[in-house]
Amino acid sequence: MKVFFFEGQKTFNVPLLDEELSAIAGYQSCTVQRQGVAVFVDNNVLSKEPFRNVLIAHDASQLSSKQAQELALQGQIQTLKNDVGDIDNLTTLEATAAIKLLYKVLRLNELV
Amino acid sequence: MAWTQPKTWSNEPLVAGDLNTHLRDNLEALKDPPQDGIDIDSATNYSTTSGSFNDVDSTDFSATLTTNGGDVLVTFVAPIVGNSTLGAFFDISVDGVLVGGDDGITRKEVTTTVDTICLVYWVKGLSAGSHTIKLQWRVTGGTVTIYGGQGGGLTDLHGQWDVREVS
Repeated sequence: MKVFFFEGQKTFNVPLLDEELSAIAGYQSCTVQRQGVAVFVDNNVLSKEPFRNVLIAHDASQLSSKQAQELALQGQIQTLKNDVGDIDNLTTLEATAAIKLLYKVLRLNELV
Repeated sequence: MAWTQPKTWSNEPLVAGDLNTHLRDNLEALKDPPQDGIDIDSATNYSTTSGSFNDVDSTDFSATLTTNGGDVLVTFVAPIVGNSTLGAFFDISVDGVLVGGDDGITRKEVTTTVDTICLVYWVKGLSAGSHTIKLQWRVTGGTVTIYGGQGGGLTDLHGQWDVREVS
């Protein structure tokens, strides 16, 4: 493993940055520090440029795919809460929706 | 002020030079020991996705001090949060060598709710001279973040990193 350090200050959405950097062959992980970002890569990675380009293009206001899923699920959970008045008297349709949603939450959190 | 091994007096006149060197200067050395560190106040947070130990910040969480030889106390406290439930591991490197080794000094179970990481560690028997001590971390998957007091709502929290010779 070796490290590329990119100096500069910028706001990062680190889970998204990690996802974006993961698209580059040889990427392992990153650490965001005050003076810049340390990008850890395989020893056989020669060029810093692809990583630099990702850092420059990074938009911290965007969401990673997991963050987007979490946001969508939060919306669905809220909808279900609004729809379900009495948990003991769910219709089959409501109960099915609740079970599906529960499964999605468990899967997103890698519990199933 | 450097520490001087105190003199053992025999039956002899007390002279100002000895008193200044062995009493005054040593008291001043005890009052103001070699120390380095920061009260965290950064424009950015500190985050890592790395599964291998690496510097939390190669400048902010790095302390260089010239010791007189002995034990050094390292303290670190900060707000910590993850993007999921994960394990955050911490270790201290002294002149590039991790003192904990293996999985480090401590492991913090981190969730999406802000919690506190507090680390107190004695680096024992350090030789006299210049030493660089750094805080390192790694994570078991996901992203772990230490807030830097960057001004965000309810995350404008300020921890502290301190390293000082104590004996």
